[in-house]
This record gives sequence, C-alpha cells and structure tokens, in this order.
Amino acid sequence: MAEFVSGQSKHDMLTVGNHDDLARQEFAMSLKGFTQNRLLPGLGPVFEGRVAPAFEKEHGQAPSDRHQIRSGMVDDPYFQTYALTNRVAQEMIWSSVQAPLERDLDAVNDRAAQLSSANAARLESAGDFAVPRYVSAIDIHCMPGGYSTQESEADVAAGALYDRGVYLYSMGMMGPDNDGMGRSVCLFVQNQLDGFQPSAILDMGCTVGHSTLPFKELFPDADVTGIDVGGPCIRYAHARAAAKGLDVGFMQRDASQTGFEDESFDLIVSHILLHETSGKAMPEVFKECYRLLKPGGYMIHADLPPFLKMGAFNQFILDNETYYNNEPFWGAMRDLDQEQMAVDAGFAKETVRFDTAPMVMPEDLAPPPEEEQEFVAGEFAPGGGWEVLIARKD
Amino acid sequence: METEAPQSRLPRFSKGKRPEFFREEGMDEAMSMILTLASEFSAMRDRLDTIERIAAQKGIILADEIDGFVADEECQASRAQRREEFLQSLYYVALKRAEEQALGQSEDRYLSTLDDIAKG
Repeated sequence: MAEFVSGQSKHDMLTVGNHDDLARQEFAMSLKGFTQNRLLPGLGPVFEGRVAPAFEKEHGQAPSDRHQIRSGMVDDPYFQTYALTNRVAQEMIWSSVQAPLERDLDAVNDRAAQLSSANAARLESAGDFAVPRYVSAIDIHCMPGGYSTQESEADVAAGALYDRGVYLYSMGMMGPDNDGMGRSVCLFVQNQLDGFQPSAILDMGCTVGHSTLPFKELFPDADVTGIDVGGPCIRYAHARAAAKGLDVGFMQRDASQTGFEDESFDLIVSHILLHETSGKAMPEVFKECYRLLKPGGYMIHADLPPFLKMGAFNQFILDNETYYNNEPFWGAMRDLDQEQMAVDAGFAKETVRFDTAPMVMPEDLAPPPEEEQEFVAGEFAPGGGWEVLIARKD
Repeated sequence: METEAPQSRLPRFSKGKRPEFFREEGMDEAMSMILTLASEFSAMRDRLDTIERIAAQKGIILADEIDGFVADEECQASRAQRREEFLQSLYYVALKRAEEQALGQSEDRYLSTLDDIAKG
C-alpha cells in the first residue's frame, strides 16, 4: 500500500526530514494556501474600492491594462501584505525542504545512483552542458540554485528540492505524485485524438519527470523520454522513475536544439515549460518540435492561458509571478501569438489550436469544464483544466 | 562559547533581486521574521500534538491530563518567572528606551561623548 506524507506519495528518493522539518513544510504549504484562498480574494475589492478610484482621480481615466493596475496596486498596503506573504511562503517552501536535504545530501546522491542502475532506460547528463541563460540568470520560482546548480556529476539535490517543494507549492492539487498535469494531457491524448497511439514520446522540460511518468503508465509499450537542461533534475528523475518501477529515459538536452534525429517522435509534450524559456528560445522549441515529429505526430504544450483569454485584472494577478516569483518570461510569453508561432514553425494552420485538457483531480475526479468558463486567477487549474496548445504535423 | 555561521553546500538564496513590498524601511524584514516565528510556533504546536497522540496510543490521554492538571505553587512560580523573562526579551527595545529616558541618555549626549573622548 502506498504511503503518503502530507498527501504526497512516498518513494525511495523523496526527502522530507524529521518531525519538525515536516511541520515547517506543512506550515509553508498552509501559508501558501491561506494566501491564495483567503488573502488573494481581497485584492478585487481593494482594487475596485480604492485603488482604481485613486488612479482615476490622478490620471483622469480608469486603469486600462495590467501595467496600469499594477502601478496602482503596488502602493496599496493590502496588496503589499498579500504579495509579501506569498513571497515568504515561497521562500519557506524551499528552505523547509533544503534543511533536511542538506543534512542528508551524500546519502541522497548515493541512493539516486543506486536506484538509477535499476532503470533500464537511458540516462544522459553531461558535465560540459551549456545551460541556457534564461534558466541560469535568475533562479526560477525562487528555488535557490535553480535547476542546474550542481556540486558534482552525481549531485541530485536540485531534483530532490524540486520534487518535495513543488508538491508543497501546488498544495497537493497535482495529486500524490505531482503528476496531475501529465495525467490531464495523457487523458486528452487518449480521449480527444481519435485513437492516436504514440510509440515514441518526448517530454520537454521534464524536470524530475512528474508529468513524464504517466505517459509510460498510459502507453506502456511506448518509448518515453524526458529532457531538461538541469543535470541534477535529470539524474533525480531517472532514479525516481526507478523508485516507481518505470523504465523511462531522461537526458540533459535543450528543447530548442535537442540533437535527436529528424522524425524521432510521434508525440512531443511539455508541461509548464514554455513560460520558462525566452522570446528567442520559444519559437526555436516549436521549430524543433516540427523537425522531431513524424508525419501525423502531435505536439502538445500545456501551460496557463494566454492573456487574451482573460480580463486585465486577472492578467495583473497572474503577472505577479513575473515580478515576485522570479519568472522572467511568465508575462511576456502570455502576450505572444502562440498559434502563429506554431504556424511559423511549419505546422499547417488548420492543425493548430488551443484546447482544454480537463484537470485530473487528486481523487481522480475529472469534472468536465463548462463551455467558455472564465479564467479566475489563483485557481490551480483555471477553468477546471489546463490550457493546451496543440498542433499536428501533416 | 564561540560559534560559527552554519556552512551549507546548497545555495541558501535564489539568484535574482528580491522585490520590495512595503515602503517603510525594515518592514519587509520584520514581516519575514514574524512569519518565520509563526512557522516555528506552528511546528511546536504540531510537535505538542504529536506528543499527545503518541501518549494516547500508549493509553495516556495527555490532552485530558493536561486540561485536568492543577499547577502547584512551585510550578506556578516557575512559570510566572519564565513569562517575566520572556516578556523582558520581547520588550527589549521598549525597556531600553524607557531606561534612556530615565537616565537622560540622548543622541546629543552620545555624540558629545564621542567628541569628548576623541579629544580627551
């Protein structure tokens, strides 16, 4: 029987620590949940009630876009309390996991090496790998050291930190294996693509493989590979897959220039990857997908919706990640015409579309999304599902 | 006793300028410290809860025992003393200000002392 720690499935690579480490982690998760569920809803009335009127008085017009809303909100004490609390909760998530990890570092690295030897699929992480600047310049979502900092070629610390930290960040909403997003995309493939059966699947920007493993479970005969620019994440992912008894390959590769041969895959997916790339890299990722796909194959990128699908206030809420959570491309990416970008990469226009992959709930409940459900910032999977950009290579 | 700053192998801070939230200098730090204390307080409450639950598994209903516990005179005195010491630390700055007022320690007097000592 599976064992759980604050709802997360235990496995041989998961580092949690002792009683008080766990208590601090759960406090951080509670603080994050409180900020999202109790403090965030107060921002709307604060904006309508005092920030917007003050802005209008000063500028002779109501704030009309997310930048103007932001310029008024940053001086409001309620917003300051909200944003600071969210930031501190984020910092606590990492520090509460880092403390036990630091104590157990050598054992964690040893365990990873041992487990990896039981995973028959390939592991590739190269010491001379050039980590792209958009990942190395700022530690994304404030995770100290980011995805790629490593002490040695055996170091898996960033992966261990991410595995537990992301569970706390998502407040368990991605399920006990942090794989809700991957499961959603898997079910989308199974139910919406007319019996499409992929045999070679690539997951781009896989970090520790949370969303990669469901593909092996759903398509056991397929060859499943995850790639990421973070070496410690790749090594951790390979060991974690072994701990879960799945032969899934993990390679340290850049999604914009993977080095794989043309037409190597018939399904290429990514989960919350695109907003962690850059203005230059993202079109290259799409071109690379086109090159790597076999005719008839699909690329599916799951992320949060583009800004045009929501009002200015929700854009502002979502864009706080850019300013307060070290997400440099988060906002800019959501302004891009992603469908046109896919067309420019070679995909035929009629094969490109946005769709919703219904969210798989922790209890395996998947309520069908209502038509045109309004995006509400702060919900974990807005509108009951994940926004997917989908394109087929003819 | 001499102590050293804890050495870490993992980076403690994330790369990238930390944004400022409150306009008042020091408020961001104070809020972060308060929330860290809240985290420790919460961890301690969880630990106490764990103790009660373990004891209950062993047949001792600590929660009832605790609620039914009557502190004797020695216990009451020792707790009162500990609270007094705790409040003294908590109000360290306020008490310092009060003493300065009582002893007439002003910034002017401090600066003139610097001059006196430099010359004398």
